[in-house]
This record gives sequence, C-alpha cells and structure tokens, in this order.
Amino acid sequence: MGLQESFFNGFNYIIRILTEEHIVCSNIFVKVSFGIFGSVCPTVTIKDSKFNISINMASSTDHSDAWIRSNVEPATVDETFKDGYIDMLAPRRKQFNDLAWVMKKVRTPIYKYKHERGYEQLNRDVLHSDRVSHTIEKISRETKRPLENVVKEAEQILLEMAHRFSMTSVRILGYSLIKILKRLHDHIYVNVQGLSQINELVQEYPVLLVPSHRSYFDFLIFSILCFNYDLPLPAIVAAQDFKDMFLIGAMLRNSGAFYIKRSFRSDRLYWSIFTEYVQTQLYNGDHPIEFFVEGTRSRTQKSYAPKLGMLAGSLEAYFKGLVPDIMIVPISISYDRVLEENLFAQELLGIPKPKESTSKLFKVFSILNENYGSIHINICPPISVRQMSTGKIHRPLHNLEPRFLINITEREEALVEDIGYAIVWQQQKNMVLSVWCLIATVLLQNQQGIAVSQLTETIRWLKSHANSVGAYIDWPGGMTDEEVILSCITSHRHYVDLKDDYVTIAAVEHGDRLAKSKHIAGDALADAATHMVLVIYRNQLIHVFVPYSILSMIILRASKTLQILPRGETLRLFTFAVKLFAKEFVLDHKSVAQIFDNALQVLTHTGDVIVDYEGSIMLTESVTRFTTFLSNMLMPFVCGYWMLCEYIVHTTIDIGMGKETVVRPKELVRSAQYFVLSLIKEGLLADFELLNLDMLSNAVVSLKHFNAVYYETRNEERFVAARIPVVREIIRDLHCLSELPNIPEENLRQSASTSSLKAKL
Amino acid sequence: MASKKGSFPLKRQELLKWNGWGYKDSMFSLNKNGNITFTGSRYQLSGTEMPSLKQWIQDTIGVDLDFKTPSQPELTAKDIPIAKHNEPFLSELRNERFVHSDDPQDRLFRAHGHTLHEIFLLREGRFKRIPDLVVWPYNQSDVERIVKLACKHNVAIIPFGGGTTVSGAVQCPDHETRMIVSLDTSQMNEILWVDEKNLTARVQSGIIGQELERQLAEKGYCTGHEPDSMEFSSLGGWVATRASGMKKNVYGNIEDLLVHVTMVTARGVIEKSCQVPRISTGPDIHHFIMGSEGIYGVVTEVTLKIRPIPAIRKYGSIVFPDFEPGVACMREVAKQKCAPASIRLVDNEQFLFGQALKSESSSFMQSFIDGVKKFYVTRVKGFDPYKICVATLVFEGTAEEVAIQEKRIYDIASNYGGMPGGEENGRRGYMLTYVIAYIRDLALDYSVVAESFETSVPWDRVLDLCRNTKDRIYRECKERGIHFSPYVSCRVTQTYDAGACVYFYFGFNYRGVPNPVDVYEQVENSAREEVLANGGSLSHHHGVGKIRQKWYTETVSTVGKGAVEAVKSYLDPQNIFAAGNLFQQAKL
Ligand SMILES: Cc1cc2nc3c(=O)[nH]c(=O)nc-3n(C[C@H](O)[C@H](O)[C@H](O)COP(=O)(O)OP(=O)(O)OC[C@H]3O[C@@H](n4cnc5c(N)ncnc54)[C@H](O)[C@@H]3O)c2cc1C
Repeated sequence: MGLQESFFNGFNYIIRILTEEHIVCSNIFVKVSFGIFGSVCPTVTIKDSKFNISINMASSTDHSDAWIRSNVEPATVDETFKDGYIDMLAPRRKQFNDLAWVMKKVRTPIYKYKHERGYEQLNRDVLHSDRVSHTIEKISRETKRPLENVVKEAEQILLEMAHRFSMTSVRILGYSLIKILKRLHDHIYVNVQGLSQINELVQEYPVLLVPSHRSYFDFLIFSILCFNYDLPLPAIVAAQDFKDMFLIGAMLRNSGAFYIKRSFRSDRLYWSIFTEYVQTQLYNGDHPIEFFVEGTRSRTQKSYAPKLGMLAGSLEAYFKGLVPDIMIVPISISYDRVLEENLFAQELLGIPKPKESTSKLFKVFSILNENYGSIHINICPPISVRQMSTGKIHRPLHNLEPRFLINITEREEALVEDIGYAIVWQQQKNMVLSVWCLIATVLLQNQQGIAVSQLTETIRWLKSHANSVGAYIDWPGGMTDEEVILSCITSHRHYVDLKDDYVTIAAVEHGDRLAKSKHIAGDALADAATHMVLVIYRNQLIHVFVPYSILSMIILRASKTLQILPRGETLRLFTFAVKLFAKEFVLDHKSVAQIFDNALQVLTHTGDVIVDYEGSIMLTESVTRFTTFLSNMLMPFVCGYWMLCEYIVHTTIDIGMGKETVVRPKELVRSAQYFVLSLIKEGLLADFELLNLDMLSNAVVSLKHFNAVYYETRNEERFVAARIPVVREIIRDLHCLSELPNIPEENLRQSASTSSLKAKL
Repeated sequence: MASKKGSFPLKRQELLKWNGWGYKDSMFSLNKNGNITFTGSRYQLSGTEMPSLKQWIQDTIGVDLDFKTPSQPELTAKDIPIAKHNEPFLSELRNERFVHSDDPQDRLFRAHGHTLHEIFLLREGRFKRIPDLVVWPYNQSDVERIVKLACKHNVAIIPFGGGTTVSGAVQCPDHETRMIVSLDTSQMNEILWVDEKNLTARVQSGIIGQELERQLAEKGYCTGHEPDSMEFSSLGGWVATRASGMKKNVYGNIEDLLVHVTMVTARGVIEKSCQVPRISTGPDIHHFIMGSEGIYGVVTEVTLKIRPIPAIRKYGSIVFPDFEPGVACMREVAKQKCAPASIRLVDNEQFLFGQALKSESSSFMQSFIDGVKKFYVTRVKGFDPYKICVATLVFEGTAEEVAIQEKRIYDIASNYGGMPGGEENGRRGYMLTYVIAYIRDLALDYSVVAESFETSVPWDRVLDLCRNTKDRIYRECKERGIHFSPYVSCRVTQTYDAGACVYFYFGFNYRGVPNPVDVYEQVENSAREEVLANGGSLSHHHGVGKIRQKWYTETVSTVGKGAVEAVKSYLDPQNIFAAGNLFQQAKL
C-alpha cells in the first residue's frame, strides 16, 4: 500500500510537470474550441479513429502506378500494423495536433436498450431502487436506528463509491496521458479484430471488460483506447486505495472510476448499494464495466487466481433474468517493460517504502527519460455468460423470491468460479511476450553470466520451444537475432551488464534507502532486487511452461535413482505439485489428469520424453536440454516452499513449544525470509529468488490447504500454528519432486533460531 | 344422421379447413392484382385488399412471393392409417345405436389440434396414429353408456370439443395399441335452462362459444367468456384446459364463471350436490376437473354465471411512445383495479403488423393518425413510428359507467405519456384477433413457420421477460443457421393484481432450412426455458398437453405431480382416458 501511494504521488507529479503548460493551455483551449470550433469539430474528426485505418493509410502519398510502392523497404515490417495489431500511437505521432484529437467529436455505439442518464440520475436510481430501500428499511428496523440516519449512511456510501463520469475530464486526462504515453512508449498495439468485436457487442449486450492487471497504467489505457476508437468509455472498478489520493483520486473518478472497499461482505448496506450500482449499469448499459478479476496488480507479473466478488455481483443480474446475457471480454495487456518494475521487485522483497525526498523525485523524473517499449492490448474473444451457464445452473430457482434480495445458488457460485478461471486463462493465453522475458529466463539459469553468442543460440532455441507450446512472442522483424538481443539488452541496461561480449546480471549501486532497511543487511537485499526484476519478467512467461516444467522436474529427480517411472506415480507427484503451487500458478485444479496427459503428450511429441507401451516414462532417455531447462525454471519455487517448511520444523522444535507454537502470518513469512537470507550469506543457498515474500506467504496458504498449518484467532488477531508431522510429510514429497540443496542440519537449526528471534525484535 | 341445429356438422371438414384454421371460405390469398385479400364474407375484413401487407411480409419476414410451399392435396383413404377395430365394442355400440363413423376423413379431422407441428404434418406429412372411431353422444346418459362400454372392452377415449387446442392435447399417443375413440361433443350443444334469479345457465359441454353467446343473447344475456378461439372452441374444452377470455376483467376466467360441473369418469359421475357461490368442503373437486385436459373423464354439463348484456360496448386505444411506459401504465391500471373489460398492450412489431392489414394505401402512420383525435395528433406525430406501442381497450356498461371508466384510464395513461389513440384504432385491434389466426396458413404457403405461445408473470418481471425472450429467440435462430431474421412480437394481453399474461407471436422464413418444424420446436423450447427462467409460468391458458410436459413436474413439484397422478389412477385405473396429457401415463 505504502509503495503504491508513493509511486502514485510521483506519477501525479510527473503528470503535473509534463503537462503543466498544456493543462493551463488546454483549459483555455477547451473553452475556446467549444466556443469557436464548436460545430467545426466534426470536420476536424480525425480519420485514424476508425477501424478501417489500414485501408485509409495504405492509399496515401504514392502516386506511381507500380503495384508495390518504391519507398517501402521490403525487409521491414510496417510498425503500424503487424499480425492483426494496429498501433494507436502512430497517428498521434504523425499528426502533432493532439488538441484536435482530444476535442474530437466522439460518436460511440450504444446498447440497444439504453436510456440516457447522467451519473446523478444513476445515483438517484440506485438509492431509490427496491434493493437499497429494502435494505435501508430492514437495517433501520433491526437496529432501531432512525430511517433518515440509515439513508444518510447510504448516501454517504454511494457518494464515496460512485463515479462522476464526464467527457470533459476524459478529454483533459486524455490529453496529458497521450503525451506521457508517447514519451514512454514506442507503440501501443491493439488487435483490430478485438476493436470491431467490442463495437458490435456493446450494442447487443451488457459488457464486462476484464483486463489483466500488471501495472497502474492498466487503469486508463483502455479508456484512452476507447476514446481513440470511438468505443463507449468504461466505468472502472477501482480499489479504495486510490480514492483519497490527491488529484488522482478525483481525476480517475471523473473519468469513470468507482471505488469499492476490499472486503465488505458483512456490511449489508454496502453490499446492497454496490450490487445495485453495478447491476443497474449493466441493465441499462450506461457504460461497459471494467474491472480486474485478479483483484490487484500482480507484483509478481504472474496471473493471480480470480477474485469472485465483483464477478458474482455482476452475474447475478443474468441469473435473475435482469439481462438477456452478459458478455465478458477478457483483455490481455502486456508491457515490454513495466513502469513499476523496480517498485515491484522491492515490494516482493519487503524493502520498506522510501521517504518522500527531492532525490526521489529526481528518480521519478528519470522515468520520463526511459524507454518502456511497446504495450500490446489483446482483446480476447468474448465469454457469453448464457453459453457458459447452459446446463450448469437452473435460473427458475430464483422465481420464489423478489429479485432485490441478494442470493445466488451454490451451483451459480461454482459457475462464477469457473468463469473467473476461464477469464484468467484467456488473459494468460493472449499475452504477448517480449524478447526480454526470454533473456531474463535464460539469465536466471546462468547467473554466472553467458556469452552473447551462446545467449543468442539459447534464446533462439527457447523461442521455438515457447512457440510450440503456444506462446506468442513479439519478435522484431528486419534484424538478425543477435541484433534483436543486443538492442533488448541495451534498453534494459539497468539490470544486465554487457562486457566483452559477456552478459551478466548487473551489480547494483546500493542506494541509501536499502541501507535503511531495518531487517536485513542492505547489500544482499539490494542485489536481490535486481535479481527480482529479472524474476518478474521470467514470470511473465512462466505460465506457458508450468505443466511441462512440473513434469520435467519429476522426471529429472526420478532419473537420479530410477530407470523407469510408472504413470501412476508420475501422476501422483504431478497432482501434488499442482496442489502445492495452487496459489502460485493458476491451473485448472479440477482437471489435473487432463493437464498431465496434455503435458505428457506435448513433451513426447517434441521428442523430449520417451514413454513405453505401458505409459511409463523412460527416465534416462527423457533427460534432455529442454526438460532440464524446464525443470530448472521451477527450482526456486520448490526450494522456497521447502525453506518455509524447514523453518517451521526447526523453530518449533527449537523453541520447544511443540505443536502449540503460534505466530502471526506476517511474522512467519518475515522470519522465514531471514532464515533464507542467513543461509545465503553462509553460502549454503545461492538463489536470491528464495527471498520473495510473496512466494513465502503463498507457501503458508498452500500448507494450510494441506492441513500442515492452521489459523487460529486470538484476541481478534490471526495466528498460524503448525502440525509438524504433516509438514515433514510435505518435505518428504518435496524431496521426491526435486533434488534440493544439501544443507547440514546444524546450520538449519542455527539459522532458524536466530531468525525467529530477530523477527520478534 | 343430421347434425343438430347450431352445432358443427358431423362432417366438420365440409365447413372447416381440413389442413388449416377456420372456415373453408375464409383465407388470406393473393388476388389477380397481386395484392393480398381476405376472402369470404364472414368478417369485417372479408373482401378487402390490403396493399401494404405484401410489402410487409416481404420486408419483415423476407417472403418471396414466387417461392411457394403449397400444402399436399387432401389426403385420400390410402394415406390415412387403417382403423383398429375392437369388434365386441363396436357391435355393442351399434346395438345401442350410437352415431359413429370410421370414415378416414372424419377420423383425420379429430387427430389434431392447431399446433404448428400438427398443421405442418397435415400439409406435408402423415400422422402415425389417429382415432379409430368417432362417436357423437347427444347427452350425459349417452356419455355414461359409451364410457361404460369402453371400460368393458378396454377401449381408449379422447374427448374432442372444438379441436382448437394448441398443446397437442387431442393427438393420439403413438404407442397406444388399443382402439382409440374420439368422443366428439359437438352434438351436446343445448342450453338446458336459464335461471334468471341467480343469473346462471346450465349448458351442455359441446356448445361452441359463439353459439352459446348467440343463444343467450336472444334472452338478453351473455357469459362474457370470449377466448380468441370462441368461434370454434367448446365449453367442455374451456373447462378441460382452464381457458381464459379476453373480457375476464369483468366476467372472469372459466374458473370464476363456473358454478357447477358434471364429469363422467371411468368410475362414474363426479359432481357437487349444490350450486352455490362458494363452498368450504376441503379441496375443491372443481379444481381438479378444470385443467384435467381430457385425462380424468368427459365434462358433460356445466352451470355458468350469466350477465345481462351491457348497454354499451365501446372501443378505445392509447398510444405510447414506447413499450416500457405502456407496461408501467398497465401495471398502474391493475394496481388501481380499474381495468376495463379488456386492455391489451401490443408492442411495436405487432402495431406495425396491424397497420399493414389496412385497406388504405396511404402511409401507415397517416392512416393511424387519422384515427387519433385532433387534439392529440401533434403529440402522437412526435412519437417514433418504430417504437410506438398501442394499448387497445374495450369498455362495457351503461353510458355513464363507460364514460367514468374512460376518463379514469386516459388520466392514468397520460401520467405515462400515453395519448388517446381513438376508437377506430381500438376496434381494429380486436377485429384482428379473429382474423389473425388465419394468417399462419398464408405464411405456410410461403415457407414461413409461425406460432404463438403465452405465459403469466409477476409485474416486476414483465418487461425483462419480454426483452429476454425476444433476444433468446433471435439468438437461437441465428445459431441454428436461419437465414432470415425471425418475426417476434409480444403483447401484454391480460392484467391481474399480481402480474400479467404475455402473449408472443414468433415465426420465421425457413427457406434453406431442411427441417423447419424441428428447428422451430427447438427455438420454441429455448424460448420457454427463457420464459421460465424469467419468472414466467409454463402456461397461462393454453395448457400443458403434450408439448409442454417436459416442464410439468418441475412446475408443480414431484410431490404435486404424484398427487395428480394418484387422482388419475383412482378415477381411471385402466387408463381409458388415454390422451396422455400433462404427463406420460403409466402404460397398463
Ligand atoms: C387461434 C386460437 C386462439 C386461441 N385463443 C385462446 C384464448 O384466447 N384463450 C384460451 O384459453 N385458449 C385459447 N386457445 C386455445 C384453445 O382454444 C383452448 O384451449 C380451448 O379451451 C380448447 O377448447 P376446444 O373445445 O377446442 O378443446 P379441444 O381442442 O377439442 O380439446 C382440448 C383438450 O380438452 C379436452 N376436452 C375437450 N372437450 C372436453 C370435454 N367435454 N370433457 C373433457 N375433456 C375435454 C380434450 O381431450 C383436449 O385434451 C386458442 C387457440 C387458437 C388456435
């Protein structure tokens, strides 16, 4: 939270600085252009906002009658259009007049049953709805609070929640934003097909837009895109955290953001207002509603398992026959380089938030001098809720109660979960991966460094394997592979060093704020921070490989002792791993056998795994470059989970409190991190990634699923307690999954005791 | 044997179409000017040319007038299944001199009602199973004797009234191996007595609606029960299906009109011992006779409430800018309990269709506006013709009563942006309800399949149900590869305290679709699913019959069905009344 805030203060500052003159100007211009150009505007409307742009642009300047234009370099790919993508920024660079763009007349398609209403009317409708008045009345009756009192509270809740969408605000914001985007990014690509799909959908059905969430930019990028292409602007669900941010909070609100608390299931009034607010907008199709099903920005850059509250609240409108269908459009937004890469890395390590200072502001400014490559926005095919529900739910069950009472059936809840997962998988599947992801992945497996030529060869090899398992990699055309890689390394020079044709992970200048970190001697964590940046980029691509990696890992481990691994045992270990990493990788835990079969099939087809006629894996034949690579990719996760287990086991014994030992979850994770760190310092562990707090706390949740730990509430605070025998069992299984580093018992015990004491301090 | 005065002839096919709706002389057809006319002389519309109708069917349904799909010629004996004969039964029947026939055409006529499926079979296919014999009883005692014989010889009976059912209710189950007798009630058509003190009348169950009203009118009375099928449907049929009439707001539905009923079952006669306005003697046996769809026995006589014919009947209409305010207004009228004899709200699609049936060739909006009072014309002109909806009204009572009702309704309407649309536009609406049934035969001639379905639904879900069901139909059609956009229209056709009855028309041009009826039924089934999911009922008045059985148990609960089944097995252990409606009866 703290980091978000500081980041955003910075961001806010950038916008101010960057657009100071322009905002002032544009305020004036806004008026002027309304007054003077008012009716002229339509003619100023810029052509590029239409989808047929490719046709328009193709027939420009060249007048010769040759059918191939002479001025086009045959070997280069036109950067404005590629693979069905179109670059939104290109026209903005060609036509310098952003002001005309931002003032253009916007004519968007509208939902066929929509009644025009402004946000004030919308709010009134919500307050006077059956649902909300019923709840207000009920609460007043039950708590004996005067009715006006509850009404006041409801008004207050709604006031804090509701957006105040205005086109003028969007224009002002759009103006600043387009300038920033042009400065930071080379291209913003969007798939043309997706644009026309949204154009049609919004007219027919209520639409939920569900982008992946990996950067703050996700918030507005789609709105800008809609503005540019004359699509209706979404109302966006935002977390409460943004609300109170100076300027930003209000600006987002005026551009369609509405704010919801993170947990409010128990607050009936809040819940009913929120549900009504969302459903009435779906019903009337005021705006498409945009929300992030992962709930929060993914600091790790991996997809998170879906959060289902918002989805359930929306889909209830279909379950109860308020709307004929709801179309869910997953959207994958991929960044070549994430603006927050550093912040994320530090947050994952728990490096505390920096103090406000001028020096920090300088850092923020330097962001503006950086290049953040391209953004790919991939609008996925829609998921029809009606289609997904066929045969799974029974809507007439809702006939016996008025529809304003909130309730959904168990089968509907299960369906919501299925749909949530389907959305996340769609998003994952349609991510565009950068060359940098590949490089990060390879470097993490070559931490001692790698020669450029070897790197190039490895990347080429990895790329073809990635393609064969369904990854889309954005590989620039018109350059040699080595050029591609070198240019990529240059633009990420903060994190990699290139010396004498040799590439290494960069050593960091140790900033002062790291030193301030109370918990851990700064240096190690600082080094880890660079490392973590690479980790988050590797994470962007890891989902493509996970099932294969798990399988490969099992093979490699077994090959150390066995010749052959029967299918049953492989599947058992596979299932264990999928369950263990449930919070780490979003896999379909309901059909593990299917994932397993699929993974096995793919790897046998690539010739990496050899299976005998009974379906057993021939282990020695199956240790290949690819399976080894895949296996290594997962190592940090297995190791990290193992470390947590070891820590639990050792502290419990050492302190001698047996099963009863309880700690706060945060403390547990923190001290496990110390534990790892001290082992790293002793040279017994090497991988900085094990310091990842996100991973360690995922491990706690996972242990809970295995009943190896359980939560206890004391004085309204949650504590974790362990069941040591179960933890030991998991350690045993971890050893079957992978060959873990050999650490003497004595060191484990020592580190564990010092770490647990440290965390208490 | 000659038929009785006022009844259908024994050979109904001499008066009525064998393969379509209504009288043989009345139909929509293309005349030599290339315009569509309505033939015959029975109806107000008869003999008029409808210049815009042709355009409308071309534009709205994509009909190509050069692409005809005519019916097969009238079937001859060789194409009609041979009758099964239970000789002992037949010989006793003959001995007792019952009027009966095993003529193939007579049997074919009683093999079907008027679902699309049945009419399509008549036009293009063959029935697998039809009644083996038609028997015409003339009174209750005839019925009792026939039923006894059937029980004795294990012969199946299906009561047949007007044959207007739209649920497959009179169709013979394919698997029935016994001889099937169609018990034709048409000759039981007398009014036995009229009791003017209590305003009741005892009537034989075979009487047809229009005949009942005609005979009562001679004495200055009416029942006021006017289902749209009243020209052809029978009193017994209404009881057996729980029918609903257009003017139920004043007179009530069949369950409100019925004071006493007598039914002959395989166990004997079931009836109450008194004719009282209300009774508290446990579960009301009337309520399982009503809606029994011919599986419990034969309704023979009914005592109905009657009313003096009102001094005035006056039409009216209200124009709404859109469907939504129209529904809101209907709801308000119901809330204030001031609905006139009839109030119906048609959507824009149906409004436009009504305009296309006009004989004037001027623009439809113009001729519509001609009917609107001067004072409102400019307001109505401001409405979007492709959104306009019209409510049609029937007022009944004395002149003063009607005046008061009118004022109240138009006042309410004005709160919802509704303008009085004039008497003429209202009258047209009702006139059309009788001829509209004929249009399907024209449609079928040009490769269009169509049918109506209905439901009842709580007020808060009326709008959503209409919108979602329409959407579902469009989408299902698209997904099934139907090339032409379907025609879907609905009207809110009755108002109640707690909800409304909604009536849908749905049709599509099936050119290029190999199995139109199958596709039609799939789409209709989805539409029904949608209706149920939107809080609608399985049926407001058409009944379950065979085509809606799939949802019967779900609708009444398993236990509920068990109870209905238990009554059936008590009343009819041999399953003599083997029509197989409501649910599949256990085979014996
Ligand atoms: C164009 C059209 C408009 C319609 N409009 C309406 C409407 O406004 N309101 C409405 O309620 N319905 C309407 N219907 C449906 C149909 O008219 C009704 O269900 C009607 O009540 C059926 O009466 P019937 O005499 O034609 O019965 P049939 O079709 O002959 O039989 C229907 C069922 O009742 C049984 N049955 C018939 N007579 C007896 C008897 N004497 N004893 C025991 N069982 C018997 C039959 O076995 C069968 O199961 C309409 C149908 C069409 C085609």
